[in-house]
Amino acid sequence: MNILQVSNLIHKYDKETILNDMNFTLKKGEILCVLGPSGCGKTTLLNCISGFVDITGGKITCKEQVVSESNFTMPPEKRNVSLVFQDYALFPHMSVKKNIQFALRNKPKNYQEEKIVEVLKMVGLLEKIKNYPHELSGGEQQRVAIARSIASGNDLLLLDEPFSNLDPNLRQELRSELRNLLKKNEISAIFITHDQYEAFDMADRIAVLNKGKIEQIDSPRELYQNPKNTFVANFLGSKNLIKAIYDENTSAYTCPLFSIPRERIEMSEEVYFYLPNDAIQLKESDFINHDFEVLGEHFRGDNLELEIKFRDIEMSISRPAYAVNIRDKLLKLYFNTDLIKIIPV
Amino acid sequence: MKFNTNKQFAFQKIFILAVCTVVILPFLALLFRAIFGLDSDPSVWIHVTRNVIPNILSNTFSLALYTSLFSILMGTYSAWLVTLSDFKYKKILHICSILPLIYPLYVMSFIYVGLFEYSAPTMTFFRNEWGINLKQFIDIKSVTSISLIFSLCLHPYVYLLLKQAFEGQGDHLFKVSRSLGYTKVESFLKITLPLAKPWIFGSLAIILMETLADFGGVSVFNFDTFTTAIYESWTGMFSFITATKLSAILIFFALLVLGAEAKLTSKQKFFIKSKSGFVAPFELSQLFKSMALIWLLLLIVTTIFIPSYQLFSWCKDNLDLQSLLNNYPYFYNTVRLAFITALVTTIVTTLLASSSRFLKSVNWERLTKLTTLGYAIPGSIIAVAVFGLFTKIKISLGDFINQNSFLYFILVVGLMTRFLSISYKNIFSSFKRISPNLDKAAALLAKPSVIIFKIHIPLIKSGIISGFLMVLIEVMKEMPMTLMLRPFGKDTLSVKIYEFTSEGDWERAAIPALLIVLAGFISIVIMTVVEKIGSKTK
Amino acid sequence: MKFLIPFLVLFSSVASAKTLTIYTSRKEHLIKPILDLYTKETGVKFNYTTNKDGALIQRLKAEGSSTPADLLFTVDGGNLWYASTQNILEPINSQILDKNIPASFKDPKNLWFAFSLRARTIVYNPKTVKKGELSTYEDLATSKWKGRLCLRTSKKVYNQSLVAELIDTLGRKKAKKVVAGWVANTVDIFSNDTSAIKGVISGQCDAAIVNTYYYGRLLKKDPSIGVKIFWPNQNDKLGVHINVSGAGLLKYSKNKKESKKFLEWLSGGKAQALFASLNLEYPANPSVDLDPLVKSWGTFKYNKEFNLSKAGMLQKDAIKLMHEVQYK
Repeated sequence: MNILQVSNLIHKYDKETILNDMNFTLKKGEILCVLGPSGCGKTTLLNCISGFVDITGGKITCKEQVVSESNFTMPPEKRNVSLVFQDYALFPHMSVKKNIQFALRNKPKNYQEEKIVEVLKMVGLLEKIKNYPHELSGGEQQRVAIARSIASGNDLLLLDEPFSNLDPNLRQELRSELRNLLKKNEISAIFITHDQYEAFDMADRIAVLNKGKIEQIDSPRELYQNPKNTFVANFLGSKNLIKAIYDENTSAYTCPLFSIPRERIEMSEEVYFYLPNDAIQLKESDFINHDFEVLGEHFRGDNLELEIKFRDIEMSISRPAYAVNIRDKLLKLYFNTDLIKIIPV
Repeated sequence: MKFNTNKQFAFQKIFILAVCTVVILPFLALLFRAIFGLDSDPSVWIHVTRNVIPNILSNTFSLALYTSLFSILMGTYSAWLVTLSDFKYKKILHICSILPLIYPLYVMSFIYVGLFEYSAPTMTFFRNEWGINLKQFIDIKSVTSISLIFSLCLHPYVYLLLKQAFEGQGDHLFKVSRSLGYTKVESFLKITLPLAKPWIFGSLAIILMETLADFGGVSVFNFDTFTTAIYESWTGMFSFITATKLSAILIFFALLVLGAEAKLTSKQKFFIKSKSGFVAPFELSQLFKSMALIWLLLLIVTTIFIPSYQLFSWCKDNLDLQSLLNNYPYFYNTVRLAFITALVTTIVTTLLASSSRFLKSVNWERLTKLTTLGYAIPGSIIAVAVFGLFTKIKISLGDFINQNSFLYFILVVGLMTRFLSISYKNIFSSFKRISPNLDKAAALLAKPSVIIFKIHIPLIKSGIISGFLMVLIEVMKEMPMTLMLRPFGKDTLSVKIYEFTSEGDWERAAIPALLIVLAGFISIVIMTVVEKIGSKTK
Repeated sequence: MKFLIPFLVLFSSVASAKTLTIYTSRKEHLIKPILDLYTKETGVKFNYTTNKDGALIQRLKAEGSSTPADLLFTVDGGNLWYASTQNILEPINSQILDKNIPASFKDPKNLWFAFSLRARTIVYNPKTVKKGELSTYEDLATSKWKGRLCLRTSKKVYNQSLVAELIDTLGRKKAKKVVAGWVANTVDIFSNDTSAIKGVISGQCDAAIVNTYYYGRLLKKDPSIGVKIFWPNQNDKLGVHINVSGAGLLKYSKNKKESKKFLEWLSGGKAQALFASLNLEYPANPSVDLDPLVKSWGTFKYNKEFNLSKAGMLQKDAIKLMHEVQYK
């Protein structure tokens, strides 16, 4: 059974179309990350799904029940959807215990007591049960917020950039913790972020949003290997896009580095070569190769990110630190054209 | 980096202590006199305890109770409509909810007594034309009526503070509550309102202080309260000691209120940051839309239409260039006094708030809060206390100080003592919104005086401006203290109004009343414009 | 407080000479014309501040010898008496004043002198009050006046002085009965005389006890108000209750000679006529003519032996009495 089904969702505000014909489904226990630039409609999407905003067209269905239509919006309190915000949104006037208890209304007292202990144990904060939110650190507050959502027993969790306020190490820690918790409790989640690494880490699938439209929705690996267009590729953080010119004589798409024979594709005006990391090798092989100038290097601990240049083409590759002799200012790179994709703008 | 907090912030500590002294010393002198002063005729006090106190206790108590109740209801409803609902006429309601601040209690009182007393034209009309004695339905001198009229004037305080509270919460908490299965109403009751408690209690304290200290208004209704009893025992029974004893009791009640408010709000140390945008969650049904509209119309009629109509119809015989010119000097004096006092008070309060923040100590914060005590003391008592104390100082300094300037000076001091509380509420709650982390960051970069100007003041600008304007309006309306301390030729409009209303001369009182209302109106307009600019630059 | 001194010095200035300073509880518009007239005639200028009597006296006490004031003008004998007990007034020895002002209208020790008189009497609606129904103050306490009386608040000093005279003449027990009777008969208690008279005009009640000049003011504005004046107790010792508006010389005045001269002028014919007529009162100087409207109310008898100082001495008792009978 699908936890969530979004069909032809349209949302207009004052003649401006915010969400433009969105379609996707979410299975039980699935984690979907929504990635996109600011203003692309991510928060509006969450508002529509949680029921705080009416939709203009299309349908939203939760577990076979229609919750939003153009003329009907089921109120949020009736939906089985929890919210987690960037500012944690813990009730300041209630202790941790009371905050979680708040999510357990209409449940018998002993069930409440048990559940509170259970979820606090899950996030490792049982000893803070009597504290107030302002006495906790940011990370602790967010954990409590997550615990609260789990306690509510809702099937779907909506998270709006939940870790943006926290420092990177904490972020990483909480990410994996959250993913484990969600999977263990079989809770579906839609996770908004503008950090592609976070999305890669957390998501079963990623939806890349652009101006209210889903450009592509796929697993992280699939998205990385086969981005549908340059927008998606850029958003995933890739800098390795090279403009491809079609040569009529050789019937191939060409660039200064290589050419790939192909039938001309009627995609768009402009077409680009997309080079995933594994299409570029340092190891000697039969592939076409070129000497690249190393413009700069960024030490990332485990690996080295190199900014490289050939004529006027600039790219970046990531390599394990030991694989590259940093002293070399010239790097010979081999291109496996089988792994190179051609994508429209 | 080590902070030697003992030597550092010495200026701040001295400043806080100095202001506390100025504010509290007269009050202490008064208490001293009440307890240890010589009573030339003890029979007066005994008589008062037997025959007067029971009556004024119940009167003052019921007046305070009803006024608080009505004010809270009115103010909360309006604040809810304006910030949390989709009421179509929010802007008008907002204006109508602030507007009553321009009316002093005593002006609203004489307008309504003049309207509903037996011999009033309206009442006479109803009696003669339709044989209806409205007095059966509307007893203008009952506690309920008086409380309603007082609430019309005072509920803006509740409205303004609650609006701040609601807006400051942002909508995340509300949304989370709903997502956890609570309806809008439940979320409002369980989350929004409890979080607004400091603001509710703060506004309640203001309402209670205003009611307890009122003298002009209750005099028009001939309603006996502590203030009227104090005045009577002093001037009628010539027992200043009895007056101080009654004052001491009144001050005790006031301290009780302040203490309760402090205790109830001290626990809430939350810094509610509202970065989120706001979509008003409550959609009004047809029934509630009509209710809201009726409420708005009621406000317009009772606080705009009726007062203007009454004042103008009383003025119309006297409204000529000559009488306007006659009133101009009083108008000038009123505005000048109000402006100077508001300026001094705002500066002092900003420095107090900033100093208290630097010191970061609960005890210093409590000490600073003591400076708001002046609000608890009726104006006439402050006047006598301040006058007595400063005159002694003046005499010891020598005779070269001009009496007029001296009086003006202590009048401003007395007024500041009384109205510091308002300034405090506005500026301190603005300060509370600034996270202490900001101070820590700033402390590493600059010294306190720079921090005040470059960081604190810009961030609390709206608090400063609303504090300034509120003190301005209050001073313009103030009467008992101004009456006692004003120097020669510095009569204000409030003084003139009192003189005329104490003789039942509503007509003569109408022009100065109109002028006070006009001056107050202009201040409100400025306050609104500034608020608009402030919210745009955010 | 050190930082206060430069602040205060900034505001210093020198006072001008030949100026008299008056603290007055008599309203500005009733005293300014007199002051202006004197200034015109003699060149002496005036500074004045108006306030309630109690407040003025407190201020004078607190100011002590540094007071800038020369004269205290106040209304009601009770207030004058109180001022005389607070060691702020100085006796005036003046043959002119002794000649012009009768003994019952000045302090026995010459600490204050009355300059105008007012009567607190009964006004009534001739349409609803039969001839002969009205007789005395005490009569208003009888049951035949139930629901027909309008009273002003006991907090106003005029009522306190009236009750004081009742206590003095009738004795406390009887006076208490009378006041209790008034309270039982009254339809409402008003904060001012004008409203009480309006009560009679509008038919809310049939009679009210008020000061003559309030009646006069309303009459002047509208001669057709249909309310008439009545002088009670014309056949007994009590007579009509008279009260005064007067003045005293302040002990620490720096212009005593000039102040005395002014008061002497004020007790004379022209000044008296103006002073009284401004407020439709009776001049204290019996040889001065009355304002025509006031004259039209007729003459009446009053207790010449009752010195207003007594009203002051009994004021506290009067207030206690009024509290005891719940007279608001």
